[in-house]
Amino acid sequence: MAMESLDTLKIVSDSLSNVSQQAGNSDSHTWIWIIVVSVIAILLIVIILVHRRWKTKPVDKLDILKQQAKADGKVDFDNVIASGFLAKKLYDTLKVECHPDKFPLDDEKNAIATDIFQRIKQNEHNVGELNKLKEEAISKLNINL
Amino acid sequence: MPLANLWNRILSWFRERNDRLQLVNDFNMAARQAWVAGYVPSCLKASISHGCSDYRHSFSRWMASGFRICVLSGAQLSKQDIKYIGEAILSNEQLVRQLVVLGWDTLEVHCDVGNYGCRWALKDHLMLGC
Repeated sequence: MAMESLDTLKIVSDSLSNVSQQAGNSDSHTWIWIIVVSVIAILLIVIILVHRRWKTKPVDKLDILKQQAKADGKVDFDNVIASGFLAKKLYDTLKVECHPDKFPLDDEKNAIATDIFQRIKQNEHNVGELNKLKEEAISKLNINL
Repeated sequence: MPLANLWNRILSWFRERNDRLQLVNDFNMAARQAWVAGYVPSCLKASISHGCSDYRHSFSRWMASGFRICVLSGAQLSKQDIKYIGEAILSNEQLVRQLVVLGWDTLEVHCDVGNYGCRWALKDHLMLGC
């Protein structure tokens, strides 16, 4: 009688463990499907949003300014950096040599010197423009720099 | 469309960040080349700093709104020299506009030796309406 009861207990415990294993497997499959579906949904949302973003034109003021800044082209960094060190010396030389008071008798040269001097003052920190003005002054005012 | 707005903001933040780093890299590359070629006596190095809160404008970044330039000269530069380097940058209107739209509001120039430097508010040099 005791042996029979032990066998029955063993059979019940075996069947219970089988049932619990099956339940665990079905749970893990469900979770995998949930994850796959949610990943697909997120990807779809991202694709839709990116597509809409490309379609829409910028209406923001900042976006327009950024586009204008890009349309202007790249900044000439070489000129900016050279200007920081070289423009002062060139400016000091040009403002002395091209001053209109140096051409008091020649009206034509005086007018040219006045124009060049004004542009020199405007481009005080721009070594590229100052170099161009230097060439112009040499050719038009016949001065040695 | 709050979700779309949020997504647009995230995209524009990354794009702006990329543009800022590109500008700093371009500046540093040009400065390095000019110094190596011997055109300029000192090497300039640009970096992003915290900036000055008094110089804020409507496009300013919440943090990191300073465009800092370090002059690697090996000796203390005079105030005039530092001022001249800053003014050379500020006189380039295109560069100033790019700095402003990319979220910078402060330009800082200092030397690698000593603890002296100058700073400017970029909004004062925009020449708006000219």
